[in-house]
Amino acid sequence: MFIWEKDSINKEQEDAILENNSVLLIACPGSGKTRTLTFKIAYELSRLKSDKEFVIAITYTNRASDEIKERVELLGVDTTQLWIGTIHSFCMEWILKPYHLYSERLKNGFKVINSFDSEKILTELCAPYKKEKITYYDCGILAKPDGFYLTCLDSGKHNSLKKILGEYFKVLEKNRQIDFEQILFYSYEILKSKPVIANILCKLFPFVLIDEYQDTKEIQYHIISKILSVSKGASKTLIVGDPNQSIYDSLGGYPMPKDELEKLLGFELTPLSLDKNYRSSSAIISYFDYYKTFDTPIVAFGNGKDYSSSITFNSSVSVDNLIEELAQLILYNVEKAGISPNEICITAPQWVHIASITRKLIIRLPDFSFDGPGMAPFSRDIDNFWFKVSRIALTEPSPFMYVRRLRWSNEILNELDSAGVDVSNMTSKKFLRICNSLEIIEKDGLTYLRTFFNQICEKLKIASPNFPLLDEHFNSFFASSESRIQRLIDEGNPYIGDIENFRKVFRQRDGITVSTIHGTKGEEYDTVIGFGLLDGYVPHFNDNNGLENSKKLLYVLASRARKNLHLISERNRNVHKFYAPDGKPPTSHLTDYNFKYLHVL
Amino acid sequence: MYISKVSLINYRNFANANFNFKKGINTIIGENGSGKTNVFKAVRLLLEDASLQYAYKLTEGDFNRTLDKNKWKGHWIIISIEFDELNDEEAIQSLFIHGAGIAEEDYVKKATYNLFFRPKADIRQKLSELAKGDTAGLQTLLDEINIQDNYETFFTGKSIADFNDPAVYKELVGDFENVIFPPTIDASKFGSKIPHQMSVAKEISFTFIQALRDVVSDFHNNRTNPLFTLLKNKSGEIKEADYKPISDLVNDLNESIEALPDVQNIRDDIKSTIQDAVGLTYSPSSLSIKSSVPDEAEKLLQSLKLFIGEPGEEYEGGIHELSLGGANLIFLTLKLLEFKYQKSKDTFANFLIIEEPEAHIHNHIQKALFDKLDYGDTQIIYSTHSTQISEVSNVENINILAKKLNYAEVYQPSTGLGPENINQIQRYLDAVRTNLLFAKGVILVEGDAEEILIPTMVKKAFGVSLDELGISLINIRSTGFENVAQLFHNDRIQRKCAILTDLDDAICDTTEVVGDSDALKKYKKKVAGSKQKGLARKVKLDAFEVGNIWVKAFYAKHTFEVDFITEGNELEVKKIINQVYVDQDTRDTAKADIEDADVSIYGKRVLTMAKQEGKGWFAIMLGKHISYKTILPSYIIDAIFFAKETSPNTIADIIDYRIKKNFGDDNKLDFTSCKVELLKYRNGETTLGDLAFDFDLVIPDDQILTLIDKLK
Repeated sequence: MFIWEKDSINKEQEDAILENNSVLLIACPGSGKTRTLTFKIAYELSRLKSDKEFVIAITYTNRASDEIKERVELLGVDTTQLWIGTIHSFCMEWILKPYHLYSERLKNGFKVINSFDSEKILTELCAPYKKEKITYYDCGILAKPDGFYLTCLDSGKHNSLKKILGEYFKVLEKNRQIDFEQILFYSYEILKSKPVIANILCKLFPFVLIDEYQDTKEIQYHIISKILSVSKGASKTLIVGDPNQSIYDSLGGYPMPKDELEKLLGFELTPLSLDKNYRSSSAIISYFDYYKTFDTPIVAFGNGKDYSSSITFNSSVSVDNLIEELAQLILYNVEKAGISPNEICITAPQWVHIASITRKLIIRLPDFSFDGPGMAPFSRDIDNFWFKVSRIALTEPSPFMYVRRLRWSNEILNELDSAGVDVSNMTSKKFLRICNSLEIIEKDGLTYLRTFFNQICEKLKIASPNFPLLDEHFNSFFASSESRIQRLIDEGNPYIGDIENFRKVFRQRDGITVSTIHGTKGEEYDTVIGFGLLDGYVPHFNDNNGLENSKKLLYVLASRARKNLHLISERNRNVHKFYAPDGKPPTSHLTDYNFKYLHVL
Repeated sequence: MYISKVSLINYRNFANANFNFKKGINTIIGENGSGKTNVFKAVRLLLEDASLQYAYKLTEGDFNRTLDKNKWKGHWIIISIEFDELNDEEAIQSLFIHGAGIAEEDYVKKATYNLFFRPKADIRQKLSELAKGDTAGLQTLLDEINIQDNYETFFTGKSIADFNDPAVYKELVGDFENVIFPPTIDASKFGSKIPHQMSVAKEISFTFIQALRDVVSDFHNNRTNPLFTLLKNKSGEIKEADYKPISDLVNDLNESIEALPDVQNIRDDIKSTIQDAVGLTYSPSSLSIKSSVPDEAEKLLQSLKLFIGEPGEEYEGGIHELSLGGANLIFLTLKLLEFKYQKSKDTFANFLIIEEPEAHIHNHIQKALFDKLDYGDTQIIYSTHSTQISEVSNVENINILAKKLNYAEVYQPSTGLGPENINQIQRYLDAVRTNLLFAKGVILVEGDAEEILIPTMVKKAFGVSLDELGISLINIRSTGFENVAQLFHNDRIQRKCAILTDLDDAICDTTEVVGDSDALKKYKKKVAGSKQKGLARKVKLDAFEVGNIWVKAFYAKHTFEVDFITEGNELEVKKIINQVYVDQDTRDTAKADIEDADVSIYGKRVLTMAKQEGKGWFAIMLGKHISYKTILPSYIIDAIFFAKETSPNTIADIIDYRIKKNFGDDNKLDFTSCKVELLKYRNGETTLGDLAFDFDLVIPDDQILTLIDKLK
């Protein structure tokens, strides 16, 4: 039995871990949710009665599953019977791979199309619809239990979009590919057509954890409950999240109310909550409390709760002076408030805003380093096979990295195996040793990777063209990386293609973080600086439920901060002489909120 | 759960074979070299944890011989095991079902687990890209294939295809003749990959006991000694408190031994001798003699030895002192115990595979052993060529292996038969041995006379025994041949079965004539009745033979004894008249009757004699007078050569035998040219027809000419 030191967790956390029934756990920001989940998983693993059972943990991102897995391992618990990953990997691993034979569409084999190729196909299919201004970005779909739905809010485009997507599905079928939404759809379909499968799976899973339930989609709820409902509550679940932080409404994610969940699952959930915030100062907590959309209690409980926080809101600075303003805020925090640059995060609603800001800040503050997504010279398509290989190619062997690289290597072997490559004679250690033995002297990052990949193929005797999946991934990896590098060079980063910039991507994070607001999910920083908080971005201009969704986004943004919070609604963005002479107006919640901001730093 | 079917395609001596198994005890019967060991090897590759590594080390030598000389290239080896009676409600089976279970809508009852040894994906891709009929392109592609680089082992579960069906093989692997290769594999038929979370071998308990050949040396080898394995398993479980007094005793014991004055003396003597020899400087600084009885539980337990007394003896000896049979029995017992220990672990299905348990175990123990070998929830499959053991098993649980050139065939003797028919066969097999399941050819006869006389006649006339010809002669003791003959069929045992029976044609005119005495009337009626029954039997057997190339009936025109004389063997019968009759007059009449040319007279006489003595005794008497000159009735020759195809060499041996016998009687006969021709025939340089010409010149009346005439 897994036991923990007294006082290493608080009473609420312990209650959640020891609760025998299935639980719906509402965890407020900074409440030690990940710690609780880690302990809960370790505890459930130690309670497994047979080696034929698995603890399942479904996380929102791959990064979260990596982190939780690492933390469980650090607790000294054997994780061979832990399966952790996103809902998509769950469906692949436990439903599609073993049961695809029961789907007419998938029985002859299938592979998952990567986002780059899918974009390419859709873009081509959209070309004839130029007049209607239909682009790839209108082609979003959402799988629901009864079919696919368009996410495009402009219903005038729907007729044409239906034709485009119909064609798109045909192309995929011809190539025996499926895309991400189809993973969910077919998984659900298989579970529905053969009820015995849910029955089998349920017996394998005495405990299923679902993290970030507030961002879970309807079909995902249905998939999980199809499996769990079979045992009528014998298999337990812990559903955890914070309805206040539900920021993926546009992608179909929502916190299903408890009674609906229970109806779907067929058994009751014990409601529990973690409402002690260990992260932020009382000032910060009382600030973001305003943005609550669900009434859940939050109590400041951390060591720094009495910190005298600086909370500012600047709606007068012009976009032209934004860099200077950001620079001043950074300098203030580092020099006056004594905050480490590693603990500062600059965030904005959209990717386009932060990509350019990062590069400009590098120039303005040459003594600081920045860690932003815009700086990665190749696509971080986590599902691309060669991206997975690049993680090993671009990191150096070291005792510190060993466990992680071993895991990556294992993932690669699994992928190779499912691509049809015979890896029966290969172990993750052996594979890692081969990777480490490659000596490639090359300055250009892409050339380096290409050489690396080719040599790996040679060593493993993979004639790449004969494995369509590897080949497709290879081409799309380089095509998308080339276009990205070209764009970055055009934007004034001539050295972005250097191998050093490639290696940086997988280095331990260093410097000031630059991220979208969605990207800060689950993270925390001493200081959070948010800009671009303008009506049209927050909320997004065609969001039907904008008022509520923008509130949640501000809730997430503000609750990331431990100590200081700086909000900026810069002027003069998208100026329209008539409609918006000062550019986009600030997000309404900010102007509505009668808060006594600090005026002078 | 139990194994219901094993399919082997292109594996070792199986080109395409299919074994069916039932719950409980199953038997695989087969002669040496028919592949019994290979079936088990195949099953072990999939189910035995320790053998799994060999599944990844298959070589071209594992392909069936029909695919030798590089013909294997591009082909697949398929080993498929089907399981039945799964239970999707049992949690312990869930992982197995997840990997291998065939999901019906809301239940799982069957599962399959397959090994494919096949060309890697790149080769398969290239094959599928070949244009239809591009034989040259195919050959170029195949030429480049080698096992090390281009083949892989792949496991799937959940398949529903019948891999034994050649059409299925074409769909999965490809059509080599017309060059059509599939670009995809339909998982709904051929199964999906076994998930990596599961190892089938770890889900079940599987024990294999190999043929016992050199048990004593197995006992001497620590690795193979089953007692060590058992002790080792248990030594980990011994409680420290329980063991403490023993280890204390061992330590005391060691000390006491060391303290023996004699031991101390030796120590001192060694020490002083060294000092005398090399001087103090070079002598060891200290020296002692230590007793080293091990005090650790594991080592101490391993020093235990089994001592056994043979039944009926008081002396208990070590394994090496036991009779071979005794040692084998002990070995088998220990392995069974090992299986019992393993069974109690966390597994839900138990399989015990035993190879030829009869080797060196005494006949009567064999039967007793397998009567009792029933573990309820365990499926037992054993191979055997012992009739003793096979008698114990149900005919429905038998697979028969038949050796063919380069491959083997498998027959299930009860396929397609209803319970009533199976019952008949079973009753028969219980009573009369399972010999016929082992034979290469079978002759069924209706009575004792045939059973006694035919083997003798064949041996004397041909110089080879029926056994040597591979033929089993089975006495049905009635005319109910169909009960047994139904075993031989395209769906069941594909071996020839000849039925030898009497047509019972009338030996006299059965028309009643005015003035016939009552006795004669009765006699005529009886003869007519027999004739009618005989005809009815023939009609029935004719219908039974229709559409079955494996069964054929051969008839004595009248009755075995009558036809014996008709064929020219009155001499042998005459020789026993004096034994049958005491009265001289009767002896004379009988002699005259037998010599008569009219079948109504000699026929009636011989039947009277046989009836008087009992057909069996009569046959035994007659048997003493059978010689090489006794003519084997023609219908019996036909039956023999139907039951078993005979090689030219065997026929040459028969001819040679008859040369020697004839020459022994009359050394003036000149066989020189016959012998030359016979040698040519052996070498395939001449035909039987030409041979007949030479023999006709030397021994025109010999029955060998009849034989040659039939065979040419």
